[in-house]
Amino acid sequence: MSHQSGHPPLKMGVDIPNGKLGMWLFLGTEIMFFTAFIGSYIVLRIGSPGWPENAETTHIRIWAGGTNTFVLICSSVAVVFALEGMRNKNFDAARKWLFVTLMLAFVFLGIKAFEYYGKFEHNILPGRIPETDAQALNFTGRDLMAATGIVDATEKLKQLESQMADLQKQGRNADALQKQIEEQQKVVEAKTPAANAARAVNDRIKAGTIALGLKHEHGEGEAATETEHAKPTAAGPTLVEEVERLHKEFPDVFGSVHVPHPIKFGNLFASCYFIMTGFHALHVLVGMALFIILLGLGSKLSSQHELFVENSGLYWHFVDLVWIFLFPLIYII
Amino acid sequence: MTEEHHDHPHVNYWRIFGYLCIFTVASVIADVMDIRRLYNLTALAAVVLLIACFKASYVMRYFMHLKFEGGWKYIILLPTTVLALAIPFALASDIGIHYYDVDVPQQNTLLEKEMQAADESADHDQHDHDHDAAEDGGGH
Amino acid sequence: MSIATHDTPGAHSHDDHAHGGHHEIGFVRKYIFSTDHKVIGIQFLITTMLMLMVGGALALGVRWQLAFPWQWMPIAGDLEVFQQQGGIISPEFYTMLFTMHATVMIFLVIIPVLAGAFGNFLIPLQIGADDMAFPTLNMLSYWFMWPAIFCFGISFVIGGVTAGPAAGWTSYPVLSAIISAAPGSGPAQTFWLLAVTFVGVSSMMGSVNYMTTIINMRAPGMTLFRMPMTIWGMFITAILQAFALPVLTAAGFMVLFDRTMGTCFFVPAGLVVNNADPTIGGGQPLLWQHLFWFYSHPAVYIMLLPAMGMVSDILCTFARKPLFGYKPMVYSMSAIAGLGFIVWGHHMFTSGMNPALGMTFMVSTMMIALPSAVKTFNWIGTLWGGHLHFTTPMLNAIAFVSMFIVGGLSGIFMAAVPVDLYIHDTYFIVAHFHYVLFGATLFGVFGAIHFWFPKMFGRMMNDTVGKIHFVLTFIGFNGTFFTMHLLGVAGMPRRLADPYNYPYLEHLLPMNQFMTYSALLMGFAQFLLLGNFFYSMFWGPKCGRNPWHANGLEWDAPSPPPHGNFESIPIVYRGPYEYSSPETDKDYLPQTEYISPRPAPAPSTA
Ligand code: HEM
Ligand SMILES: [Cu+2]
Repeated sequence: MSHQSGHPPLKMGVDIPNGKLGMWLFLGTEIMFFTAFIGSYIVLRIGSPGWPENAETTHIRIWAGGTNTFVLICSSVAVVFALEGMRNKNFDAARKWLFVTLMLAFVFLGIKAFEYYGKFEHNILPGRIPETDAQALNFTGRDLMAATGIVDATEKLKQLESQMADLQKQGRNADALQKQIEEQQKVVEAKTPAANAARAVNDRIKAGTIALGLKHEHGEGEAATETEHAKPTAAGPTLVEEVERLHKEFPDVFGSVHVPHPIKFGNLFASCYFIMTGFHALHVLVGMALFIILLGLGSKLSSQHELFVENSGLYWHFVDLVWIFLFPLIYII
Repeated sequence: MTEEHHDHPHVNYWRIFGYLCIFTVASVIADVMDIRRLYNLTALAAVVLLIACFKASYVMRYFMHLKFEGGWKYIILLPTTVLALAIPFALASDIGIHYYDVDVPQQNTLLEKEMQAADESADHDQHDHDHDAAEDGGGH
Repeated sequence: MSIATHDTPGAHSHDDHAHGGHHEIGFVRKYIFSTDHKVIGIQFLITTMLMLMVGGALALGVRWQLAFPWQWMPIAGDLEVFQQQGGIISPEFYTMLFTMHATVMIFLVIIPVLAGAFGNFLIPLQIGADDMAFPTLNMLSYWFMWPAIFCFGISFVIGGVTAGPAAGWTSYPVLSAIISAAPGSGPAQTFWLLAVTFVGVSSMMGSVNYMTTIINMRAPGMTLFRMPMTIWGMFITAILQAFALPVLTAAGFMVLFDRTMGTCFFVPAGLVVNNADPTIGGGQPLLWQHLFWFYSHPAVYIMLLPAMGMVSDILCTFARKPLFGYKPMVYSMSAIAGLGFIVWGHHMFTSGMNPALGMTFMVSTMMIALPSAVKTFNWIGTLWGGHLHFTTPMLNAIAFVSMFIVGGLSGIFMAAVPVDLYIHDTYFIVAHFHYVLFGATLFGVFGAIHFWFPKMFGRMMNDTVGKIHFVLTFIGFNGTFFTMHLLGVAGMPRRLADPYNYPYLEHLLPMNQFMTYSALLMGFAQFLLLGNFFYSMFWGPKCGRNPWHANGLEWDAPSPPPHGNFESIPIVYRGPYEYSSPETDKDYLPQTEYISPRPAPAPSTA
């Protein structure tokens, strides 16, 4: 330690600007933030034997993840060159590289959006995935009923009728309402045959006398074993056959209903996938906002922004770092 | 801050870029080779996570210029790394192993009811089927 | 908002304003959206003092029910909203009361008063900086408190008096993760979680700011081991906060999504709650407990370390003695922080966690008592043979030490798994954490308020009123909380609206009534503090720069310090605890005073 005599040095602490020190400390907190998600994912996964690993089941596309890794690496290089430009007072070059970074960020988000779209298409969403055959049966039954829209229609009819009763009690003219009711009755009637068909299937589901009947579309893999015991066990057509029949009979009504593949731990998988990639994408957006601010300066970009560029760069590299770990964890393992 | 803050050593960023790309390709190859089949999942995880660590170290040392920073980098990053590793390791021994059963009692009663209902109207096969389904639902 | 107007006096006696040489800024920028660390600190202080009253009122509600179960509530019973229950506390409302009491006290009082109020006010002053490293961020960290207060408020009222956040401050799933688990609490619990996120963001901004400031903005000569213990406390707290809090924020998001978006991190499969459909999922409720306590155990030290630091300063000043074992104090504080990260499982002994972990956590928890004991002995050593001046701050500081001993000892009881199996979730736990949180931290804060008030406002608080407040609070406190140990050992569970349902607890009613009277006494005593505080702000006797003859840098600045704090950059020659030094005739030796000729003694430690 320094002695009492003599005058101490003027600057205490570490030899970097406050802004940069603050940014690094902030990145430390960010590391812990993502650790909570990634750590939870890891331990939940270890603790859940039978986790969906087959890409056919999870619709995880390694080419998408790989391309995005490449895109982020490129953008990391670009932002380093932007900082280099700032330091060499070559602000045009800096702007150019910042622009490249921003564009690459857009590409990243584009690919991400495409992946998300795929997940939505296949209903790989938390809380929507049946995990057992029984759940697949129930979900399909529910979807069939929902597709007919009979419940809403009947509900509306009932409402109208009670309104009607009120009006009649008051002795008022109810012709207009009468017309509405008649129309609604027609709607309900139109929906009834499909609804009855759906009900019939639902009855069998409730009674437990229908099998799922999914074929092993995807060949080998863990997912296939899930459905193995779904051979036609009960008498009569399987659910898949029933739904196919309904597709043919009422193509307009049931066209969108499919029998989902049960995925064991699918919901937990989807939860982890979305929370990790979602918060990562959010960080990408924040980084983009920083670059947009810098680009918005236009020709006003000058040496005084060097620290800003450096800090944005650090942040962006951090976003890249997170992805470097997410890529193997989500797409490969 | 002053621009002559550090004398910035020149780094050939394209070379680092090249390394990163090679590493990425390597991890994709690890996937395609199907180490999972050849050995097991743990081996695959070890390989690709090791590769990820190498990538991360390149990004941090060169792109984030940590190689050229003072001793403070250790003070900030070492405790963070230790804590970040502590979470999955400590939790793995509980949530990961989970020697206990996460079966929810209510769920078992539900499934039992389902099974009974099925038993009434089914043959031997039927019974097997529902039994398996019950195991699925357990969520081990 | 009320805060804005209350703050006005904060700088009304800016007579030394000339030094700063700052151009005048408007009222709003100066007192409301101020970036001056002192104004922000005082904003935090007043906000938290008001929140203290709110939290106290909620606690009195809890006490009322335990002493006079199902009886008409005084005052509140008349309110319209309670008419349906006949003016009594319903079980649902009781649950809301203790949930919100803990929430308000922890997230809106203790944490912000230590880090927000005193951290802000003292850090730049004690290290000789003109302001924080990031003043705007600092201002934001205060204003992020308000959305939190707002969301907590909404969560409390949105469901009426029969539905609200009812999962306790620990918010364990599945109670918190499944909407149907607590009927009617749907939006309330969601708002509660949002509010916790806001608090988290606010604290995160604060802690990054404090760390940067303390590392990089110390005055010349202020080496790490010349920093006052307060700064060490704040620094280590900031580190804890920075690295533990993000985990809670993340976990908060997870449970929020479990509630609202169908994820299932904490929801096991096939759970039937309240006759709703069986849950689908496969998540693990225990995961929340791990993540929550990974934050919240370090958080209990976040709620303690700054107070430990401030109390060290106060004890030295009024014992007129150097701190006993400065470096061991620093090291033990760091050890507490480090160990604090690996003991979280002691909250989960009964949860069904892996027994091997229970063993590990038991050992690490026992270990953490060692550095705590080092600190305690050092405080006693500091007092030993000193010239004690029993001012209000000193009395409160001594209460801190003694109450911390009680709370620390009960902690070691509970750290033993076999003992904890019996007393977990009983009133013994409640006694423990009130001894450390109220008995230690809050007495420390009371001491700090009286101690640094002259620096904040340039006026003194009334010492007699301060002493009366101290005595009443101390008596009320022990009357309320010591008894809880006995209730706990008798097996009375916490969080139970009507324990007397169980015959084996019936005989505890008189004791509970005694506690409620004590709590009332304690509650009313706080009006003395508020009165003294606000009265002295305007009409207290004026004081000079250094009314206590203390050594710290803050006493070198004018009272109250102008924007920019010091007239010239202070230069530090020694540690902050050179009281009764042989080198000078005064019994104190400020850190900035330069004594040339004599040979140098070893710096800072003594
Ligand atoms: C000597 C050091 C300490 C030890 C060994 C210790 C030990 C423990 C243990 C084992 C529990 C869990 C009891 C149970 O739920 O069964 C506990 C609870 C608690 N401790 Fe401590 N503690 C210590 C110091 C502190 C300090 C300094 C604070 C705060 C400033 C604190 C605040 C709390 C709180 C708030 C709880 C209860 C949390 C809840 O369940 O709501 N403890 N302590
Ligand atoms: Cu604890």
